Amino acid sequence: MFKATEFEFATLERTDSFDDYYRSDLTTLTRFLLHLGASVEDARDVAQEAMLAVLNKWRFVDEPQAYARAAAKTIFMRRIGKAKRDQEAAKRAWVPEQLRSPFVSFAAEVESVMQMLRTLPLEQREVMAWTLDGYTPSQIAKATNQKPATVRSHLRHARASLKSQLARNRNTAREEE
Amino acid sequence: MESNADITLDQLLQRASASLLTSLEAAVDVEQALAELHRQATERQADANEPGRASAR
Repeated sequence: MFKATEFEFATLERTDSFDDYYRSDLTTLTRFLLHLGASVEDARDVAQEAMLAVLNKWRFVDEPQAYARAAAKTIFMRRIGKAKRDQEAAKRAWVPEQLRSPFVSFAAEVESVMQMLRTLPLEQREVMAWTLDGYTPSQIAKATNQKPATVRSHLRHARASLKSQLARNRNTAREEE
Repeated sequence: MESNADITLDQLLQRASASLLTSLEAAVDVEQALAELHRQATERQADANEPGRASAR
């Protein structure tokens, strides 16, 4: 299991296989963090930190994608904890407007989905982030050290909440027409 | 069987997720980020090998 303070430098020599993995997963890992609720800037930084953690353990990691996501979540939570002690930083980390960073702009539909995801409790948002990356509840349970039934329950509640938000949004749009 | 609401939600999530990835792929210079990662790794390794170096900076 990933420990945020662990740094083992025995495996730091450049390896082509790590580089190939990095190229294939950096943007999807960044997207995972955005789904989790990170700002664009935090998602970029945390993805890079998580990739460093993968590189440190490269020879020992069987499933780098799952390891990177578990590491990214731990690093992100540590950052949120720090940000909570600094109100300004906390605001920066959580407001959806932060998504409109000059770094990248998103389609209106993306903004709308991100806002919907941000209304979910963290544990439900996390399960959605894994699910949107193609993981099954059993795989999520294994990667996050939870019971499969717990993951399924979070997923069921998250989907119910998202469906009711969607229905509300549609009703509001109809009323405005 | 999936309800219409489930299908609508899945389609929305898939579209938004794919669109988000496309935006990120256009914005992120992966090769530059990879080079930066290796630079950071080398720097941290040097700091770990020589603890006084990090605090001296």
